[in-house]
Amino acid sequence: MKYTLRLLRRFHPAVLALLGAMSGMALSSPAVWAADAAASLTTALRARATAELAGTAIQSGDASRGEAIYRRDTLGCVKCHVVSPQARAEGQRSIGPEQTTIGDRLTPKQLVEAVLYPNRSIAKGYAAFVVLTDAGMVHKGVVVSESPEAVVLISPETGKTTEIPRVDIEAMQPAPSAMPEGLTDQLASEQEFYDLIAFLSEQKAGKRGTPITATGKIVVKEVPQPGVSHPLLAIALPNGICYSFDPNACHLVSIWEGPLGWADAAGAVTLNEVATESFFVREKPWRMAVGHNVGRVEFDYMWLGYEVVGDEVVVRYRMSDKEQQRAWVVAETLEVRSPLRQRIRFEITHPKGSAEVLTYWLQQTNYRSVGTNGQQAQRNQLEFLKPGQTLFEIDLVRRKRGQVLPLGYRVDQVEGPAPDRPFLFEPTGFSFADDGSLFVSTRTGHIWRLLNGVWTRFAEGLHETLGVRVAANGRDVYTMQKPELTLLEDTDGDGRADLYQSVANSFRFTGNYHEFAYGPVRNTAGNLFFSTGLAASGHHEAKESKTGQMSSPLGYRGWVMKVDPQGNLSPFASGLRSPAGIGINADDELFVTDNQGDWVASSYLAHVEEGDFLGHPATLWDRPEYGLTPRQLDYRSVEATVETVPPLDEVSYRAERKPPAVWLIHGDLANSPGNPAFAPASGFGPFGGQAFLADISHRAIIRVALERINGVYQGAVFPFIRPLASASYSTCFGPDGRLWVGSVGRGWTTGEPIIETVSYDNTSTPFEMQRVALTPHGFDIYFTQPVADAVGGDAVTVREFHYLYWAEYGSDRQEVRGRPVEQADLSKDHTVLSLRLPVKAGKVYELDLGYVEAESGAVLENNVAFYTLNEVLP
Amino acid sequence: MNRQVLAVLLLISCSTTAFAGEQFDIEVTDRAVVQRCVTKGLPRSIAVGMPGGFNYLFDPVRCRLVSVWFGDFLDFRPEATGRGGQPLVPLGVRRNLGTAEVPIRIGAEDRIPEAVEFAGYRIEPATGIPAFLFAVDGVPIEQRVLSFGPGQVTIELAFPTPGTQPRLYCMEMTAVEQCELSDRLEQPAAGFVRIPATESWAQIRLQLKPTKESFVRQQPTTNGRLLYAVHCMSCHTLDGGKRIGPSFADLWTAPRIVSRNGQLESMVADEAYVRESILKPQAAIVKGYENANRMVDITQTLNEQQIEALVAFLKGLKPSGS
Repeated sequence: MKYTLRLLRRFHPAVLALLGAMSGMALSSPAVWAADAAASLTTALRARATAELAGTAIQSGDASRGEAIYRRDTLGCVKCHVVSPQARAEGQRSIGPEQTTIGDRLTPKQLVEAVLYPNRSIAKGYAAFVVLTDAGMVHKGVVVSESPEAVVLISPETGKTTEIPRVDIEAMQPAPSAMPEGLTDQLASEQEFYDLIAFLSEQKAGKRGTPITATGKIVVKEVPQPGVSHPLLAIALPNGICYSFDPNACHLVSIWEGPLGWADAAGAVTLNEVATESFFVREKPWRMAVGHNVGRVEFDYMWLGYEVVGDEVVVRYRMSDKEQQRAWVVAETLEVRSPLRQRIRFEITHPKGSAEVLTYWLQQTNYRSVGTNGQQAQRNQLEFLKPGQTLFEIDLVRRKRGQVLPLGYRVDQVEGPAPDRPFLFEPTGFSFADDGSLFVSTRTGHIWRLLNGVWTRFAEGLHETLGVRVAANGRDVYTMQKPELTLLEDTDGDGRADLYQSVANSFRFTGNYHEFAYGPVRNTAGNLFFSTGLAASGHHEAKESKTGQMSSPLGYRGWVMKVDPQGNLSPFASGLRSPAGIGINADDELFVTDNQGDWVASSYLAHVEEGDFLGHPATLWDRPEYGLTPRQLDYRSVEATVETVPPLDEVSYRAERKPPAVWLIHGDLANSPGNPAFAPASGFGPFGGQAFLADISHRAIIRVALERINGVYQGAVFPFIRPLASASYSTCFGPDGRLWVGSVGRGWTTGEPIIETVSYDNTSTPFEMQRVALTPHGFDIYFTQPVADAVGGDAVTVREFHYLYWAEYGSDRQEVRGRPVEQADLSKDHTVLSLRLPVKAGKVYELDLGYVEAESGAVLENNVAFYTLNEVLP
Repeated sequence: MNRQVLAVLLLISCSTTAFAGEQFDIEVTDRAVVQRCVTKGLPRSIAVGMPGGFNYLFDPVRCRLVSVWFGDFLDFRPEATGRGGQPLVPLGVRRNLGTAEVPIRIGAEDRIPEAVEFAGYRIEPATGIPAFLFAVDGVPIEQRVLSFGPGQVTIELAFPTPGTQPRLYCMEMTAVEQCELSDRLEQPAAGFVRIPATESWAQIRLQLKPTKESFVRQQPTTNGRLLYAVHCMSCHTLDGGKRIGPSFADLWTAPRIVSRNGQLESMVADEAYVRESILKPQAAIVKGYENANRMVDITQTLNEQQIEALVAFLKGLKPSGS
């Protein structure tokens, strides 16, 4: 603020005088100046706790006075926010989120926060980014999906999506909230603030008029939407279920139970938005496959209209391919059998002579199961239409609404320390000390300590700490900084570290943002291990790499490093790319996770032993045979770089590569996994010893049950809890058996960084696949509860596939084949299902169990397992 | 509240944190602040900000004081936003005091050390002031850097173990006006200070030459089109479309009717007008927008160069006919 004033003085000396003259006029006194004055209302309100303000608003706020304030010109709320269906019907665009039902969506405390700090939390769907491309084009919108290859933005104003390849992006910046800071300075008194909050918190769906339901006969409402030509179709069916279809982007939008919405006196409709659940169908969902590039060719869409046929609505639209101008006509009907089961029916008229394969974009992982009479190559995203197929059906079985959470487990949030700008609290690692203290490292380089419910800052000023470990003495704390493994000691016992000791720093760090370092973990012999990530660009791209995504500056990047109890650092294992997780199990065995990218087909969990090479060839040049990197780097060699590197022998490193213990299945289960936390033998339900990991992209906890076959680790990965409240990343089991989960708030995905804990009640038995064991004839699936009926072989869908080991960024699943189950036998006690089918080493087996009930009546929510098969049994 | 309802509410209230428009400076108040970070050209920087506006960078690889600056400490935005990990920006004119090589030599000034081991630093609990701990060719050393006034830099070296050989400290002298030494230290050559083996403590007091350079804060971008998209596009179109504020279509040199102090007046959209509209959005309001929403104050987030860049971009929006 002071800085701004300085600037302005330099710019326009008259500005301050003018401002003084204008300050009497309500409309023209910019909040910023008012906010600068110590007595401003915004400053006064911000100094108070939001919970206290919310409490006062509930008790003493007057909603009717609040409405008058809300509509006041000087405040300008209504310029951006639609608060009534009439306003929407009149074509008013909503720049900010609609507030017709804001009282349902936000608590009074959240409302206080949203008004006082417009930039602190921007409603989902309204946090905009601006992307500038190399060609000078500017795209602004909300990020709907992000991958290493591309960013997809949707414009909140037009609803249009744009996919921008990352290689074309010159700059990407978050755009500030369009809602001005300091709006509250336009209010005459503190009471007006309470009135405004009271008004907003009363904006609830139930208050908005007569409910619309279908009584015996289907009801179709056309609900105008801002910025698009065709109104949204909202359909209420006689069975009490409603759904919506967007004719502009020709896709199913959402489904819900209860009233369709409410009609006010003028007939304008407010949808029952709070109840809706997405269809997970992408806008303009059809694509045409060309060769192996599925879904690369898009269509232009033309809306043809809808008609009511019996109890169903048929929508029609025309799609034409941009190049050849041929047209397909689609008649689409949704058959709603129950809230959980629907079938989409398509009748497609193909252009003459076309033999193209069409694909329909549906996020299948959000469903319990998806069946089709077309082809289904990947569980993840695409349905395939066979060439010329005219009747196409997709059967959807939804998951129960809300969080998938096994019985007996609960998720709680732990309040972090008070916000401390600019150091966002993003917990990247946890470790418990002997006195019960929890130490937490954060991404912005702080170490916090939680003891008896009180947070204190133990250390600060560190360099992107991505891990923390209490030392063997139970008191001192190791942390991993980007350039250094550091030991923190509180020598005077005042609760703050005062001795920051460098333990290991002789590995290369060139300053590229992607040169992350993770850990450490400690084995019982007292050795510490940490892992280092490759650089995102720069030196020594692997000659074989066509994409050149990641590279090593040499000097032990992409390695697991070992520090012995004497403090000697040595290289331990190579071949890592972005190894964001390191963990150690009860048997002292070391595991790392890596993230999908070049040479990494999918994220994985690997068992690491000394000398292993795990796959990324750029790490091999550090080996002694090339003579490029000394085994011990000193102050001269730690910064030296090498001009050229010799070619690598691809045949030999392909042969040498140690495959992962378990693929974590990019797309379905984990895109950006953190560290494996191994569950204690008891205290966390029937999963003792298994690995639990959190994933940033999926905001989920996944579970891995390993087994050793011929001395080699392999096993199955299962979904466990999804979604969590934020982008979960770090995990740790506490002494009380609880799983602590930390999340990051920015970078590859965004969210409020928080701590969540998962605890088990020690009495309930969840209904899960406990593990999958390889047998000489197939697989045995062990259940935690007896299964209700004999499960036939046809109830289990088995798909076999493998991944490519190549320089490209990730690998699609290759040669996906359904493997019919020849025989399925349920054990006498109904807890083991034996599947007989031929299996091969080097493959991954997806076991999709569809709908399975336990004798207790529980339904198997986590009904899929992926088994990575490295070794077969004789 | 049952758990499912809670889960749904969590999903609905799920929000992102926006950073634009917020300051990310690390403030130094009554304690010294140490921040390890990447700075341009020095990936393993240790930045230290002392109360009173003295700041310096220490390089733990060669265990050397690299540079100092006076004024504000560090802009942390490049680390705290997006994916982080970008070089942090010292908020002052950096004065170089470090040579390229290890500054401490044992025995003779031309003896480049064989071994340099950085051991960390100790924080003085009451003040936060760090003492760097390292060993050069096996000789343990503790170093503090302080300042006792404008342009003044004091380097303190302590030798916890008795030595047998003199130690030498080597400096870059371009920015140094005057150099004072504690007792028994001497300068055998320009840029070298000789500390006798018997000394367990040494102080080198430097007075820097005044600098005429003034610090200009660098902002992330001066791309006018990008700035338009981030800060203006929500309300002002380029194609004549109507949003909250008037469109910028054919803006430059186009005639405008504006309301100024309640009076309508006619003018052309020239540089002065555009500049005024950015700095004082309420001074002259385009006719028909008198009751429109108040313009967001973008001067809060943009610096001088960025506003120049934005004006330059708007300058390019000439009427299609001309």
